[in-house]
Amino acid sequence: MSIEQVQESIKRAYNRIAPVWPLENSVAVNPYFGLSDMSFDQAANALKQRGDIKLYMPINFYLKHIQEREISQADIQQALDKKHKEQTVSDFLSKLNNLKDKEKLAYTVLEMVEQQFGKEFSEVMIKHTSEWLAGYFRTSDKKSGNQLFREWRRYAEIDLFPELSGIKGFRNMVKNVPETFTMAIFSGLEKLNIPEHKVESYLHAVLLKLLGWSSYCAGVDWQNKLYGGDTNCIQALLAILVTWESIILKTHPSFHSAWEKTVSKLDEQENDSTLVAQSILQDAFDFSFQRKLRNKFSNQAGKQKLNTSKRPKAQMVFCIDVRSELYRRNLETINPNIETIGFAGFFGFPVKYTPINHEKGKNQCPVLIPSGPQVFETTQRAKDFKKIKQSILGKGRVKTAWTAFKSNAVSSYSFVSPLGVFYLPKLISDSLGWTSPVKNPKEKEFGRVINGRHKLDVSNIPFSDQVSMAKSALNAMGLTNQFAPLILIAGHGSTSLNNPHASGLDCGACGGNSGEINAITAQLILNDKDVRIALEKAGIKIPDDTYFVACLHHTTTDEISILNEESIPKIHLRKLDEVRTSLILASKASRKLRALRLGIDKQFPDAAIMRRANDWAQVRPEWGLAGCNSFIIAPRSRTRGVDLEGKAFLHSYNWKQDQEFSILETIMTAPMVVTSWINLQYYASTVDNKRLGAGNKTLHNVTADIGVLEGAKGDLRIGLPFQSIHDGEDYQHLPLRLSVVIEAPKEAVAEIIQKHDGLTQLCDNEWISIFILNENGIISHRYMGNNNWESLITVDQVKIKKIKPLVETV
Amino acid sequence: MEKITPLVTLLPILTLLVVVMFRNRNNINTLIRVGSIMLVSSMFISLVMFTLLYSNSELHSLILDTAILGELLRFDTLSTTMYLMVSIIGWVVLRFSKTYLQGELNQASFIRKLLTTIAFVQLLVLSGNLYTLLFSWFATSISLQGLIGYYSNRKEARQAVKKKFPVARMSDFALLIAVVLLHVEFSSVELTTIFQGLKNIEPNQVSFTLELAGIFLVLAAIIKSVQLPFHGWILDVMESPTPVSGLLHAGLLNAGPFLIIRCAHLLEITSIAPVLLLLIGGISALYGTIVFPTQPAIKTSLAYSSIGHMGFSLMMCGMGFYSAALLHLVAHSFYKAHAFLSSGSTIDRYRLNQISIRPTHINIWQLLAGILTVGGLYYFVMVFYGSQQHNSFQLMILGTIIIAGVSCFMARTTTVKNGFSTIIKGIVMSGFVLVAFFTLESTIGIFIADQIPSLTSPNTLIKGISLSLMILFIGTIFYSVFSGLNEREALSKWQVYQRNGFYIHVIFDRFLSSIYPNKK
Repeated sequence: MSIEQVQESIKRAYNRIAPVWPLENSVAVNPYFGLSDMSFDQAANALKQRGDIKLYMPINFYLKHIQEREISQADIQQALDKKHKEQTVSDFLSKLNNLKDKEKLAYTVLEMVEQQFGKEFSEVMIKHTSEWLAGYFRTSDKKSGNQLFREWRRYAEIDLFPELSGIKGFRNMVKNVPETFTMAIFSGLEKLNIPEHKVESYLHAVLLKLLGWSSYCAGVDWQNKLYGGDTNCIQALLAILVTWESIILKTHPSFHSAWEKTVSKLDEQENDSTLVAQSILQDAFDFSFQRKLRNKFSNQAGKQKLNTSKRPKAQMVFCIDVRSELYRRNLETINPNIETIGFAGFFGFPVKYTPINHEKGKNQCPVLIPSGPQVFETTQRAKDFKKIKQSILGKGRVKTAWTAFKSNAVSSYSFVSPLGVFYLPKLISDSLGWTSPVKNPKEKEFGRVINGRHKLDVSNIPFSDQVSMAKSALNAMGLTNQFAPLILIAGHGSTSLNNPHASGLDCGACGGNSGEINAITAQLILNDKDVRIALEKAGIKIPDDTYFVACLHHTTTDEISILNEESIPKIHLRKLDEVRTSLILASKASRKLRALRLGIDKQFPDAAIMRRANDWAQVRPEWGLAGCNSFIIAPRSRTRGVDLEGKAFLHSYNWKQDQEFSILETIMTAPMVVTSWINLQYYASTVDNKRLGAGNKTLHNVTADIGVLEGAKGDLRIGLPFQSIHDGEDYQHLPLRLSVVIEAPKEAVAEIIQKHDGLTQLCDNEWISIFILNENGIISHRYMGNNNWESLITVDQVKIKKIKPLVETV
Repeated sequence: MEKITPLVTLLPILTLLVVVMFRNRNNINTLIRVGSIMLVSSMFISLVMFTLLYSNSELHSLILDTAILGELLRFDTLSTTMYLMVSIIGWVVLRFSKTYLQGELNQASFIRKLLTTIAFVQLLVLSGNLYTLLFSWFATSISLQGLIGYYSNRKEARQAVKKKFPVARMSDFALLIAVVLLHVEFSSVELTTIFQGLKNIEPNQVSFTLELAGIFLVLAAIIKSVQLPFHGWILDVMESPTPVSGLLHAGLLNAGPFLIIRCAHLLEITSIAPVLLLLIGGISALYGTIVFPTQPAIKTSLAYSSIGHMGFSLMMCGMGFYSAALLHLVAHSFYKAHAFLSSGSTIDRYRLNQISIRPTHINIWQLLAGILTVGGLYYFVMVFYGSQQHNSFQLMILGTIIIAGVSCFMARTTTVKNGFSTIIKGIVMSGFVLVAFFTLESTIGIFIADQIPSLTSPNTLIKGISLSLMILFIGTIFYSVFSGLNEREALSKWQVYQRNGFYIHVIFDRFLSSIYPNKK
């Protein structure tokens, strides 16, 4: 076998691992990202065999939904038809009870040794590697693959733990491992005698043994790739894992022959009847939801009022986030003169924000794109800057010294003896919810900018960039004419205490940060006179009486707060006051709806919801994006009045204004991918919380400041905690693959899908479903893959609704 | 001098124990409500007791027949302080668990186990006779076991229980021997009688039985308080929900130092037991404190830190400095309860620290300046408090450790780069720490004065060991300032071993499983 080919296989193997981000700014990631070239069913088979990872719910789950008539016979029939199974529904259902799960065959040496020899070396490997990696990533920003492997080798040559756990001669064997990770992988593969065509699947299985840390390394590589750096972390980890495999193989002579047999069986078996049944049931489950979604649209069809020519009192731009849907619905009901728009929550301003005295700054943009220019926190008056920076520096110094005093060896005794009793009042007040255990980091990061003590400095963005950002943002929002006098730009953020996964509840479009800074940046640039003049030249005339206001949607409490209110000129403030009343009412109404789902049984749930946000024991502060199941790319008028249950992403889009479908292309390649990542993250955490979810929150043990362990040891946990998808009695997220509904000519949609390989894979391999919304607001077509469409309109419907033919591609 | 308090004081404990027997599934809210009312009444009772204790040195509660069990409960400043502390922590943990575990399978059973454990700890600290003490010692451990194994469907939780079991029984067994020996020696089970008897014995007349009782008492305490090498199981308690760790680290681990302070009169006259305590406590204190900063996982780090703090408290006992031991114990309880319950805020803390500046390395001159400033402040505060106790050997040892720690803080603020404000802040904060130290130290000293022997100059052996430990302690502080001791990096052999807790628990587990086969 040639070295190049093996190298390719290695690369394919580690590319199968999706990245994860540290919890500080956790980003929703599709954990099946590396598998999108496989069909959903193939991926299910591969994951099950290689890593014992489930891609479907247990059969009982679906049966329960069939019994409750959520899934109809027709849905099952449809699923059976699709898989070309010549089976009747009742036949299929009756066979379900006889299905037995196949036992997982060993795929790695560690698994084989455990299954056949009863030696639990997997635990030893996981404990040793996981603890070492936590230390490695905690200490340093030096994250090159070479260093990782070198330092691990040095550690493993000293560490006695493997030998004390029964792996004889471990340290000596590590000494004989080649010094570079590439050579170590090769030499490992050779010792393990893996045939060339099995290298990829074997190495993938090896990485799945330590999936959490593999994903973290992939995440480090991903970020380094965006900003130009070393991207070999995951290879170095692979080398470590392969080294373990080859060492374990050597520890006992009888392992060799057993391994030879195991390797010969490494081929992936098809025809796992349980998987086939589950796949059909999952399809039926998806169909059942899509049927209901289609009904929602057809019931609404004809009722929509399109393009009223009256100028709205205010327009409010929200993030596409599913939590906005519920709020928008309430706001529009309360005040029909307010128009709402859905757009990615960074509002087209992918900035990097640096507070005074911050070390590196934070990227406030989707992780799919590198961050743009930096914006800074600065003082209101330039001459104060030096003084204030000094004082913040000084405070920081004292704080750091105090932390060291508290948490260093021995000096912690000098701290606790005299000061420990002062934790008594803190313990009680935290317990009663009067105080929070630590200061809110967001408060410290941009509290001063929001409350107007300091301001945001956007001058680092060149003027021409400001104009082009503004222009493309307005274009993409569809805001090019008919500007209301007041335009509110609502970022969103969540409030919870003592929650390691807090940033997961913030804005995914802002890279796991909340959206204040992006909203303020938009406000500053769009209100800028010079920018407006330049925009007018480019064809976008913003009326002089139009003012952009930045605000924040608190998703936990559904409050809307106006940011930086002092900076708003008086004339605009008056207009704002009218809107504010509606906002307060909408907040109350939204809370009432939200309370139902939170299980708060009160007529006025406001206080209970507020308390929830400030309770250090609360493991379910809000439902976040749980339940997300659809993404609707259409003018708001199509969905206005439709109850999408706070489970739909909404992106405002009018294809008639989109020449050459460039905006649609952006939406489909960026927000649509992001929403499918979020959806599949929830999906994965629901169907296999043990492997792709973060497990039980009550056991979480934050490690290395980057992730959690469940309990005392084990692999780094990725994905969402069980509490984020389950309320203790039932699932709050139902595993449904994202249904994307697009109002645009199907030819245009198909063209965009074909143009981008990533999209083709997502759509053709059934990771998401694409639907077309027609002129009449009816879901008319489903994308079937490979540029095929299935018409969903029955002849009767055509007659009744008198459907006009779709407009051809422009 | 003695008074008999009505049995009503026992009511909260009894109620807690009775309530948990109702096994109705839907009564979770009632369970929690009754639980918190009882814990709040416990707090109230202890406050009432404090006012009564103002004019009496101790109060007792009798059970029906004094001849059999004698005094059941004993309210004095020591036990009431512990009672109050346990009730507060119990209440906070209960409140926390109410929300935290909502929706967990069988939350009611968790709350039931929690309340049982708290009730037994309350009984333990209030024990007025040897057998109540022994019984509740055993009962706390058994009910805690149910909490640790709460997620019995998890293999890790079952393993944790399995690890704890033999160790806990060793501690029970050691206490059983100590109790029997004391019973035999004094022919009484009442603590009051025994303490009185102990006070009348001259140090040179100590019988062999008493020496032995002292040794077994110390063994019971060090095993219970996870001292080396019996600490392995505490590293696995994170396999149970966070509130369990909160309760365990703040309310149960300190049973060891409490037992020693309770029986201080015995320790005071025996000669081997204090040395044992000083050595094992001191070494564990050093061990815990060296290992904990290197642990990347927050709960594991906190667990090692608890091993150290318990050691520190026991070390103070070994020196005969019981008031300091109690202060450290109480302070640590509140500190650690908060640390565990707020361990979910670790990421927030990390984010907050990013905005501060990284700890800058300090040079020898800054350190010297720090030591001189804090030393001066210490002297000043000491003169201000100028009582006799402050010239004791024990205070010298503790004071030096405090000075060393605060000096490092002071040294880190000593820079004129940002103007003098940081230095001034440093001085004010250091001053505050020292004032707090002296105030609390002397208050608690007077407060429990009649429950512990007065501070005497220890013998040469104790002095020698204490001094060596002190040198090791402050050496560690200063060494860590200039080295990577507190870093999480593990490059050198020492650092690798340090990170792994010097493998003591791994070796201990292997040893244990060889004599106590671990059947699956």
